[in-house]
Amino acid sequence: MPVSLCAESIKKHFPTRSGELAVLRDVSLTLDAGESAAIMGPSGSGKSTLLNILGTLDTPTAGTVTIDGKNPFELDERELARFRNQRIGFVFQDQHLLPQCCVLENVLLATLVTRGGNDATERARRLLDRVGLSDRLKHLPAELSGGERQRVAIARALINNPTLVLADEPTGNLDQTTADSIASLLSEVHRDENVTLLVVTHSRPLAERFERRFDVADGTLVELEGA
Amino acid sequence: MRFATYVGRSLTFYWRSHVAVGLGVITATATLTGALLVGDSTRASLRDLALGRLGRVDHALVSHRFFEETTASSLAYSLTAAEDETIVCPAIIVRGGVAHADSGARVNKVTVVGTDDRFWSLAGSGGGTRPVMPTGRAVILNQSLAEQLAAKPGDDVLIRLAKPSAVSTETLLGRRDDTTQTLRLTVDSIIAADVGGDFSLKPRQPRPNNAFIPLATLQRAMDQPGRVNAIFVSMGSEAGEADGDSLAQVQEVLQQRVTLKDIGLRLRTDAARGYVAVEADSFLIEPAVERAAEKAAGETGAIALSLLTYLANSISVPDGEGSPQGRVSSSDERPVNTDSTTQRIPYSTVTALDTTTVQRPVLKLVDGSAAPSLRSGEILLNRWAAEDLKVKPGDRVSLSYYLTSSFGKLETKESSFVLRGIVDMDELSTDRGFTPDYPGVTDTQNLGDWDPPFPLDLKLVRDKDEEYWDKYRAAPKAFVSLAEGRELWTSESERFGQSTSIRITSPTQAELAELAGAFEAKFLEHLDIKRLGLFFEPVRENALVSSTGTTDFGMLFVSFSFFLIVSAAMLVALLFRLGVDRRCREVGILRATGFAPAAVTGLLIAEGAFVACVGTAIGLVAAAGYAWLMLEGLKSWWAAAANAPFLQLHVEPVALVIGFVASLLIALGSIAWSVRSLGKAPVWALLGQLVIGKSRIALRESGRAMALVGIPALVLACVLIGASATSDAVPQTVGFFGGGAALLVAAVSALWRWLRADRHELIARSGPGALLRLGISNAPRHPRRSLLTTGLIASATFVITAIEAFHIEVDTDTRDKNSVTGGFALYAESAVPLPYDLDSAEGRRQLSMDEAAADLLRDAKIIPFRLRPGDETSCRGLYRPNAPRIIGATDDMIERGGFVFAATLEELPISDDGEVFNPWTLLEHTFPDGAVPVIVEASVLQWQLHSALGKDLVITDEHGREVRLRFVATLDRSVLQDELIVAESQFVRLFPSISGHAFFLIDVPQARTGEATQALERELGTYAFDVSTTAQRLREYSAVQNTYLSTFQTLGGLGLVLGTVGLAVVLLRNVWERRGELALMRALGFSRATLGWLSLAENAVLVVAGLAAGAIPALIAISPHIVSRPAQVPWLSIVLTLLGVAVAGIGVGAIALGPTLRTPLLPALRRE
Repeated sequence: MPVSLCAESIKKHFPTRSGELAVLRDVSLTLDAGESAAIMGPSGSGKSTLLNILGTLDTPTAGTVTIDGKNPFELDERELARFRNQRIGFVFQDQHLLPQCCVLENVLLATLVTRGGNDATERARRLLDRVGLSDRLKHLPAELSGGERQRVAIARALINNPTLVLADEPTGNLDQTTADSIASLLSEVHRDENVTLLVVTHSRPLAERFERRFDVADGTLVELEGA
Repeated sequence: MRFATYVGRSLTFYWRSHVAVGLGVITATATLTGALLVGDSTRASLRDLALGRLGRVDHALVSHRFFEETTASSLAYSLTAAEDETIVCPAIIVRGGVAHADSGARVNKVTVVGTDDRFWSLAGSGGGTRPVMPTGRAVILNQSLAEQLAAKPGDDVLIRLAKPSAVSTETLLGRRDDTTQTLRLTVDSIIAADVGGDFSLKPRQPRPNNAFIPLATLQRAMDQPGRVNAIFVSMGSEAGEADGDSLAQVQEVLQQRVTLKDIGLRLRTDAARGYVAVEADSFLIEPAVERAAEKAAGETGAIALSLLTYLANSISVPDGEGSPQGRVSSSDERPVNTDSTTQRIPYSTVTALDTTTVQRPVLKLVDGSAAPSLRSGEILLNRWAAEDLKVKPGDRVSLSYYLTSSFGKLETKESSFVLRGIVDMDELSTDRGFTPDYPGVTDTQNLGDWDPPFPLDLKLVRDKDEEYWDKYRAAPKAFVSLAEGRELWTSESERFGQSTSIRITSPTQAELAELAGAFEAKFLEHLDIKRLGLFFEPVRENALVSSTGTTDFGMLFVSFSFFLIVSAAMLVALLFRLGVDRRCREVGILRATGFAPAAVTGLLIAEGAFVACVGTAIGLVAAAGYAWLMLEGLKSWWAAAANAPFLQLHVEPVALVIGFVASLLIALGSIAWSVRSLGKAPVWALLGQLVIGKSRIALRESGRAMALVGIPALVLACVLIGASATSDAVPQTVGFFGGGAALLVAAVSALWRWLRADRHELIARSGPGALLRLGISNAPRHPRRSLLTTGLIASATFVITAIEAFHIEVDTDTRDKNSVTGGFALYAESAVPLPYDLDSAEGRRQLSMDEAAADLLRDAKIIPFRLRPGDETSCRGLYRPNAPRIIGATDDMIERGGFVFAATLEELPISDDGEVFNPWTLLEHTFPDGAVPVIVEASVLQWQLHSALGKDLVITDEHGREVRLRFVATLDRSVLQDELIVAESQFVRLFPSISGHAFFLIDVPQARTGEATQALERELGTYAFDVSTTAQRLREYSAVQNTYLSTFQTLGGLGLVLGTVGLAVVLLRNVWERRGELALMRALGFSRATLGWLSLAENAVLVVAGLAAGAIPALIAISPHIVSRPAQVPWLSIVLTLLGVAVAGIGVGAIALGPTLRTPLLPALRRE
C-alpha cells in the first residue's frame, strides 16, 4: 500500500510570556493509503495541534509532512489551499457549518473553489443521502440536531473525494447514542470511500473502531499496541 | 452553489451588521457627495443670480464719456441687419444716492438707470409682466431700494447724482462747485427682481438698489440731451452662449459708427485762414486723440499744428531788473497782483505754438516777416498788447497765471519772458479760433460777463480790455513756444492732454473741404475708441467666470467635513470588522476547505462591496439632504460667512458620479482595510475564534512599527517647537502648529503602546478603586478597536481645540496707527466724488458744511482716497472679482503709513530711516516693466484672488488697456479688505476721468464717532456720503472667518460624535463578547450597576485618553497664540468643547450599555 500520510520529527513550539512552550517535541507518523487511525491523549497534550499540522492548517516549527508523496508546506499559499481543497477533508467537533447556508450548500462549500457544477451537486446529494439527510437538503444548520450537523460536516469533508480525512473530536459534543451513530458513519465512510482517516478523540470506544491508535503524551506520539 | 449564492446568503443572514455598515457608508457618501453638491449649488446659485440680474444682456458698454444716443441706434441697425435677435438698448447708468422726500430715509449706494421701454425686453428673467417706463418726473424703484426707503408709489424721492462734465474738475476750467445735482421724482411703481428690478451688470451677492428713470428725464436733468453713457447688447443667445467673436463684432461695428461728436470732438473749418481745427468739449485734447489726429494728418498729406491756449491772469512788465530769464514762480492766492505801479493787462489768453512746423507762416510780425521760432523764455506780444505795455523787443514781460494743485486748489504762478517780437494785428494773429469755445467765457458779450470756475477780479478790467474783447474776443495777446507752454501749464499731460486745438493745414493749397473730408475719415479710422473709454465688456461671460467663485465650496465643505468623512469611513471599517470577527470561524472553515486567503478576503469584500454599493446609492439621496442642510446653514446659522440667502440646491449629475465613485472607493477601502489581516491569521486560530484577542505577536510587531513612527514624531515635535521658540528661522505659528501635529502623532503612538502593553497588575482589594483598575485593565482588551476610536477622538479634539484659538476677536480700540484699523475709527464712501479737501477747513467750507459740523471735524484727520468702484474683494464676496475696487492712496497717506503689514515683497527696498518702517512707500516703486505696485489684505490675496506677493493681477484700465498690478505688500487683517490700494499717481494714470475722492478714512476720537457720522452724512448728503465704523467693518470680516471656523468645528464635532458612536459600538461589542464573563460576575454577586460602572470606567479611560492625546498637543500648538494674545483665547469655549466631547463620549457609552446589561443572566451563562 502506498503511504498516504507521513510526518517526520514534527516539533511545534508556541511563544508565551514565560518563553517558548514545546507542544510537540518529536512526532513521527506514517499512515498508508486507506488506513484509519485514532490519536488519543489528555487535554492540552497537543493532539489537536498535531492534527492541524497534518491538515496543513498550521505549520510545524520543525519536521516534515508528506501527504500523497508531496510536502504541502513547500507549496505557496494558493497552491496549498488548492492542495487542501483536493486532498484533505475536515470534520470538526463544532462542525463549523455556515449558518446562512442550507445543508446542501454547506456540503457544496468546498466545490466553490473548483466550480464543481452539476456533478458536484449530484455528488453532494448522494453524500447527504449516504449520511441519511436526503430529506433535509434545504434545512439550515440551526434547524438540525447536533448529530445531523455532524453528518453534514462529514458529507462536506468528502465532497471533493479527498484522500485524507481528518476528524477533530467528531463526537465530542454529542450524546452517546449520537456519538455511536457518528462513529459508525465515519467507519462506513472510511471503508466505502477508501480514504485515509485520522481521528483525534478522547473517546476510547470511538478510537477502538479504527485500525491504529496513537497516544500523545509529553509532546511525543506513541502507537498503542493491540490495535 | 455559486459565489453569488454564498454572498447572497451571507448578506441576508447577517443583515443587521450589514445595515450598520450600510449606515456608515450612507453617512460617508452623504457627507462627501453632499459637500460636492454644496460646491455645485453655490456655483449654480451664483450663476443663476448673476445671469438673472443681467437678463438677456451679453455685452455692455458703460463709459465715463457721454455719447450720442443715435450712435446706439446706428449700432442697433447694423447689428440687427446681421442678426435678427440682437437687441441694443442705450441708457444712462450712474451711481447715486436716493432719499425719501418726506421721511428723509436715505440709501447711498444706488444705481441710477436712465432708459426707456427697450430696456425691459433685456432685463429680468422673463417672468412677470414687463414694466412700462413712465414719462416725465417719475421713477421706478426696485423692491430692495423701496423697502429701505419705505417708499411706495406716489411718494416723492430725491435722487442725487454726479453732474457729468466734459471738462475735468481737476483742471483750471473744471467746475468744482457744480458737481452734483438733485432730482425730485415721484415713485411710479416698485418692481420685482424677475422683471428686471434687480438688474446688475456686475455679479454681487447683496440685492442691488436700482432706480429707473425715463431716459429723456435723466438726459434733461443731467444736461445731456440725446446723449447716453451706456449701451446694452443682447445677441439673442441662450445663457452663456455669447462668445468673444460676438464681442469683437459689436466693438468693430461701434468703431465704425462712432462720430467725432460721440467723443466730444469737433472739426472747425476756417476757410479764410485755410485750416481745419480739431477741438474738444473737454477743452484739452486727450493724448490718444492728438496722436490719431497727427497720424490722420500725415496720411492725408496734411500738417498738424498743435496749439495750447491758456489764460494769463495778467501780462505785465516786471518792476526791476535782474529777474532770471525764464520762469519766476510765486505762490499767490490772489487773482491778480494789483500793484498799481506795474503796467499790466488783465485776463488775456496766451497761445503756445510751434511756428516752425508749418510751411506757411502762422503769425507775422509787424514788419511783415514771419514770426520767428521761439525758444524757451521768449515771448511774442501782439501789437495791441505791446503798445499797451509799452514794450519793445528785448524787454522783459511777465505772465501771471493760475495752476491747479490737489483738491482743485489754485496757485498763482508767474513767469518772466524776453519779448522776441511784436505780432501784427492781422487776420492770422487775431484769430478767435486760437481759443476753443468755453461756455461762460468765449460766448460772453463782455469780458466783465465772464463766468469762469476760478476767481476773477473784474475791477481790473479796463475799458480798453473790453474794447479788445469786443473786437477780437478771446484772440491771444501773447505767444510762447509750444514746449514752454506745455511745461508751464500741463503738469498732467498724459491724463488730460496738452493741446487745446490741432490745426490741420495742407501744404499744397488743396481744397479745404476735401482736406476736411479726407482728414475726418482717416481721423475716425485712427481713433481707437477703446482707448477713449468706449469699449464693450462681455458682461455675461464675466458673470459666468465670476460665478465660479473665489472659493470652491465643494472642496471647502469636503475639508470641513473631513473628520465626518474619516469618522464614517472608520466606522464602516470598524463595523464591518466587528461583523467579520463574529464570523471568523466561517472564515476558518472556508480556509480549511481550500479557499486561499485572498479568495476568502475576496468573498468578504464582495459582500462588503454590495453593501457599499447599496449604501452609496442611498447615500446619494442622503447627500442631497446633507447639501440642503448645509445650504440652509449657510443661509441662516452661518449667514455671516456666505451672505448668500439666494443659495439653492442644485444636484449636478457630475457631482453625483464623482461622489458615488469616491464614496464607493472610500467604503471599499475601509472594508478591505478591515479584513486585510484575516488572510494572515492561522486557520486554527480562526476556527478557535482566537484571532481577535490573542494575537499578541502581531500586536508586538505592529507596536514596533508604531514606535518607528512615534519616536521620530516626538523628535520632530521637539525640533520644530525648539527651533521656532529660539530662532526666527522657523516662524512661530508654523513651528508650534507643526510641532503640535507631530506631537499628536507621537501621542497616538504612545496610546497604541499603552493599549497593547501586557498588564499583570493584580486587582487586589475592593471598592471603586479596584473597580476602576479592573475597568482600566479591560480598556485595552481589543487594542485595534480602541485605537481606531480613541485615535479619531484625539485627532478631532486636536483640530477642534486648535481651531478654537483662531477665532478672531475684533479689537475695537482704533487709536493705534499701527493697528488693523490704521488708527481710523470711521471709513466713508460717497457716490459722488468730493471735489474739495474734506480734511481742511477751507475744503469743508467749499463743501458747504455748516460750522457745527466743521467744528466737530476740526481735530479729525481725514485721509481721502480716489475710488474706482468695482467688485468687492473681501472674504464676504463669493463671486470671483473680475474688476476689483481700487483706491488711490494720496502722498499724505503714503507718508503717514500705519496699519499692520503681514508681508512685503522682499526684493524691494522699504523706506526705513532707522525709525520708521513704512511699507506704504512701496506703492511709489517703479517697476521696469511698468507694473503698478499694489497693496492688498493678506487673506484677500490668498483666498479671494488666489495669488501671492510678487505676482500680478491683470486689470483693464479706463482706456481698455490691460495693466498689470503687482502685489508688493499685504496688510494683516486690515479693515481695507474690499479694495486694492495703489498710489494716487498711478490711479490717475489708470483712471484719468475719475476726479475727486470718494473713499475716506477718518481718524476721530471714538467718543465722537456717532456725532461725526451724523454730521458728515447730513452735510454731505448731496454727495450721497455714507459713513461706517471701522470696528463694524472688521466685525463683519471677522465674522466670516469665525463662522467658517465654527462650520469646520461643527462638522468636525459631528465627526467626533461618530467617533464616540464608534467608541460606544466598541464598548458594546466588548461587553457582548464578555457577556458570559459579566454574567459570571453577576452570579458572583456583582450588581448590574456595579458592572455598568465597570464598563463605563473602561469607556471613560478611552475617552479621556483620546481627549488628552488630542488636547495637549493642540494646546502646545497654539501656545504662541496664547502668549501673544492672551485676552483673545476663548478658554471657556475650549473647556466647554472638551467637556462636551467627554460627556458625549461617556454618555453615548452609558446609553449603549443599558440594554446589554439588562440581558438575562442564565442564557448568557449557558452560552458561555
